[in-house]
This record gives sequence, structure tokens and C-alpha cells, in this order.
Amino acid sequence: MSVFRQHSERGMGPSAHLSGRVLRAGIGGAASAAPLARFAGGGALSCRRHRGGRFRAAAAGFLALGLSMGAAGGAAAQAEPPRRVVSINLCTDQLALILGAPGQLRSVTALAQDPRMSVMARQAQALPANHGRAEEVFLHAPDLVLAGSYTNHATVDMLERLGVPVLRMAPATTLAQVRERLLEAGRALGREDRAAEVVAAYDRRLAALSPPAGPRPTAANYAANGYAAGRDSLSAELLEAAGFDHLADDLGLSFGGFLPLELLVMADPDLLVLARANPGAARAEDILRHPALHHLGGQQVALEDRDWICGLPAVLDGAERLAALRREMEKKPALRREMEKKPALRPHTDKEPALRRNRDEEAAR
Amino acid sequence: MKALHIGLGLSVAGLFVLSLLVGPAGIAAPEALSALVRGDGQTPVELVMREIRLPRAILAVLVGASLGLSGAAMQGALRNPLAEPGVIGVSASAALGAVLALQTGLAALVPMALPGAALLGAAVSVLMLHLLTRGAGTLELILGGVAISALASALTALVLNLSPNPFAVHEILFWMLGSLADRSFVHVWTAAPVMLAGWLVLLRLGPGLDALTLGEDAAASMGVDLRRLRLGLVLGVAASVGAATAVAGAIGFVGLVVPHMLRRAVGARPSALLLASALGGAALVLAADLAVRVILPERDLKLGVVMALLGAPLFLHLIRKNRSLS
Repeated sequence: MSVFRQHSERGMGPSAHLSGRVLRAGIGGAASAAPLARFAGGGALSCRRHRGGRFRAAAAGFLALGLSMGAAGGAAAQAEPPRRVVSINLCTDQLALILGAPGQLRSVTALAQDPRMSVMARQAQALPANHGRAEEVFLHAPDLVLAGSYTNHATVDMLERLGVPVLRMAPATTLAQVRERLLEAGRALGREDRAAEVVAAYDRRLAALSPPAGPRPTAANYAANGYAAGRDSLSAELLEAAGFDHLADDLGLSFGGFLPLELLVMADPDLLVLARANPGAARAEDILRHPALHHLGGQQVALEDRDWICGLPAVLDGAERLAALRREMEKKPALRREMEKKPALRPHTDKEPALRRNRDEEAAR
Repeated sequence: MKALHIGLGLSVAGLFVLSLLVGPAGIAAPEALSALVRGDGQTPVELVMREIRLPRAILAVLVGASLGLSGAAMQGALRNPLAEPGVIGVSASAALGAVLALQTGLAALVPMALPGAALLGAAVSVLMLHLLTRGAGTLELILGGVAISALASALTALVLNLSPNPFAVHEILFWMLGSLADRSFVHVWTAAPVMLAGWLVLLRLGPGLDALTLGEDAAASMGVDLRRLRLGLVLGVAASVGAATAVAGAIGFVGLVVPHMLRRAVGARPSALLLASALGGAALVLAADLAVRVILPERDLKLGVVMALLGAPLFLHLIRKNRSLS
């Protein structure tokens, strides 16, 4: 009983998550050992609280673990890294796959094994899949669960009640946050060195994007149901890094929203980044095949969801493709003139066949 | 009668033009209308008018006429003012057929498979209902319709839940309530031929329906082939409602409201009600589609919501009247 009451009290307000057994995202380096020690203690506590026989065996395991971790985390700055990590969020799956030591990661979500959603599907397929349900996660007896901040609260709360430490990581919505999440996951996994390596490579690639100076063409991204990501999204920042102005910015979409097809056609962006349709039919995706889009004058590329659904170093793959497109646009004098004129509406009668061809190749790929 | 048809036709034309002028892009009326006919269709304004607004308005007319006509024909043939494709599950069954064609990939492989499958779904439900409720009263018809409707909706939801596409689940709403948002000429060309064929069949039922008002025996003695009439009804309703549902989802109550509003004006003659209901249905769906765009422009409010707000009170009123009569 007390477990539940205590839990519901903790559930009030956002700051409540800072206490208890939840490791919050964005905790500084110096603090990293303390929460580990705290959740180790939580594990031991949970053992005392569970009176039912069913959980006793598992709880005993946590007690042992909790004690060992408590001992390690007591005075030393370096806590013992978790040895059985289960991830229940597509993005933390891939972070853990990049950073984790061999054998450290025990299970990832089934989404991470889907090559349409995940850039690390091959590596993920080597691990057992979970579907983010508390029961299957618990059966892996994890000493750390990685979850997203929007992961089903019931699941995360249940895991915490069972004494499993959970790290909730907020999704990265800027290129700077991609770095932060890498470092944060590195700390949680006890793989700071590996994280530093990955971040250094990421920084080098980001610096190498260097879009050409001068007028910036407008780009818009467009997905199922007419969803356009806004100014404060990772995809907007990627477009910006690749040398484009973001259409959602002009239209005042800050976080993203549903952009009527009419407004998109009227804005007539120089580059339209379309989401790739999923298998199986959905009326929501019909809009990506709408004839009006075929007649638009600007260039079009299709990006897979996996290219930027998560804030991973792989987002730079997409950015590099976009930057290459941008440099190509720079070479076309006709288009350049057009960009310099830059009124919102302009006739697209003199488009070069080369651009069309490029677009068709993109579509075919 | 002529005056009624002309009046309805004019209101359809007026609402059609209005429908072309309403949209988020805020194009001035003269520019909008001239963009429909002038130019090569490559500028943004021309694209918006020709590829986005025009197909939507045309579909509203086609879908509305199909539903109004089907409602009038069903009410005449079943001699029951509550018979209506949406209420008795024909639309839901058509939606199931369409969803099956889309999710199995058949619609992408075989041309016309989408309206064809919806037609099949609709035909099965009309036949089932016909066999179940032959010679039975209103209550049985409505109960049978509710059962078929629930079953078809449940199967539609099941199929969409099983789809590998993450967006498919959200489509349940569309298939149950209907919408014309962002439909293109692809949808017009897919549905129009099947709908038009259905209209032809239904419009020719007029004389038979008139005779049927005297009762089945009297109609048969007057030389009406009842089996042919029923076959025509099933095929005509299945084709019109099936094709309409395949591209616009299940829009309820049009076939109920429109014949009811016009019945007195045509002197309660089923044959005269057919054409009037087709025109009235077109006007009603055009108006409802305008309303969803004016009330909540950004939200894609479903057409079925507006129709149910109009239709459900009328439906209750009809049931009450029916009860006090019997």
C-alpha cells in the first residue's frame, strides 16, 4: 500500500521526477555518481516494500545489486557501470547501440530493428526485441532502463515501482542537444570515453557542412497529414545547417503543425523535403502523392523518417545530402537569379531540365 | 416541379462556386476564378485552384448526389422513411470493402479495384439487409442495419489496426465520418465512372417505385418486375454509395435528410423525388463541406460530424412520428 501512496505523491508535478529512482536527463557530470547511488538505494528499499512472494526473488536480486552499487558509489567518483541495460525507446535504443560496451545492452525495441525507422537496424536485430511493456522489460532483470521522456508513463512508473532504475531522456530537438544526449547516455552507461569519441567525430562532420554564402533558398519539409516541422525542430536546424531557409519560419510555425496543402503550394519552396511513405496504405500519406505537388517548380527530395526521427550523429547523413543539393543549386545560374529575386510567388516556367532529372533520380532511389 | 429542380440546380451551382472561393490561401475571387481557365496551370494560384479546390468541389457534388439519390431510392423501394445508406450500414460496409482493397494493396495494383471493392461491400450489405428484413417492419430494418453497421465498422477498425502503416489507425475516424480534405482528381476519376453508372440505374427505377407505393401486389399486377427493381436498387445503391465512400469515407444522414425535406415539394412521388434528392444531396454536402472549412479551417473537421448534427435530430423526430402512427 505504502508503495502506491508514495508513488502517487511523487507523481505530482514535474520536479517530483528528480527524486526517487528516476535519473533525469541533463544532470551534470559531478552529479552522475550520486543518482546512481540513490537508485541503488531505491532498489534495496523496494525489496523491503514488496511483501508479496511473487517479486521476492527478483527483489532479492536487486538488493544484492543495490548493495554492490551502493558500495561502489559511496565514496568513489566512478560508479560501477550498469551491466544489464534495456532500452524501451527508439532513440535511446540507437544511442545505446552506438555507445554501449559489448554485452552491456540486453534488449532494444522492435522499432529499432525496423530498417525504415532505425539507422542501426542491423545491429539491433542481433538483440532480443521488446515492445516497451513493463513485464517483458522486467524479465530481463535490467539494472538500467533507458526510456524517452514521452515513453508511456504507466510503463515507466510500473518499472520504478518494481525497483528498476529508469533514465528518461528528452528527445534532442537541436544539433547541440544531439551532443548533449550522447554525452548523457555515455555517462549513464559508464562509457564517457566512447561518447567523447563519437561527439568529436560528430563535431568534425558538422563543421564540414559549411553551406555556401549568399542568398539562401527556401526549403520546407512535409509529412503525412500535411505535417510540417517548425522552426524549433531538429529537421529545421538540419535544413538551416545545410544552407536553407526554413519555410515554417516564414509561416510562423514554431514547433511545427499542419500546413494546408494550399499554403504550401502558394509558398512554392525551392526545395521540398517529403517524408517517405510507409508500407500499407494510409489516407494520411495520400497528401505526399497529391498531383499538385508534382507540378510544383522547386526541387524535391524524399528523406526517410529514420534519417532524422532521432537526434543521432546519423542526422548528419541527411544534412550532408541536403548540403550537396544546396551546392548544386548554387551552380545553376537561372535558379540563383530566381533566388535573388525572392518574392514569395514567382512563375516556374524556365526550370532547367537538369533539375527535374535530379529530382526524378531522387524519387527513384 | 420544374421550378424546384431549377432552384436546386441553381443552389448547387452557387455553392459550387463558393466552395471554389474558400480556402486557407486567401486568393481574391476574380483571380481565383480566372486561374481556373487561364494559363498553363503551373503557377501556384493555378495549381491551388485546379488541383486542390476544383476536385474537392466536384467530389462534394458527386458524393452528395450519390447519397441523396440512394436515400430516395431506398426509401421508395423499401417504403420506409428511415432507410438510408448510412443508417442501415451500407456506407460502413462500403468503407470496409475500400479499406480491404487499400490495405491488401489491391487498390494500387488493379485500376478501379478501390471503388469496385467498396461496391462489393455495399452490395453485400444491401443484399443481407434485404434478405433479413423482407416483409418486416421498420424496427427490423433499423436493427438489422445497426448490426451490419457495427460489424462492418468493427472489421474496418480491425483491419486498420493490423496495418503496418503507423498512420492507418487514425484513419478509423475518416472511414466512419468522412471528409473531402485534400482529395485530388485521382479520386474524382476513380469514383466518378462507378457513381455515374449507379445513378443511371437508380434514376430508371422511378416508374417502378411509383407503382410500388400501391403495394407489392398492385405493382406486380401493373407489370412491374419486382425482382428486377430490387436488383436495380441493390446495384445502383451499391455503385453510388460504394464509390462515394471509397473516396470520401462514410458520410451519414444525407440520404435521410434530403428526401425528407423535399418529399412534400414533389408531391410525395418517389420518381420525382429521385432527381430532386440528387440535387439536394449535392447542395447539402457542398454546404457541409463549406461549413467544415469555415468553422474550423485548420482542423479537418469531419463531414459526418456536421451531417449527424443535422441528421440525428431529424432521425429521432421520424422515429417518434413513426411510433405515434403505429
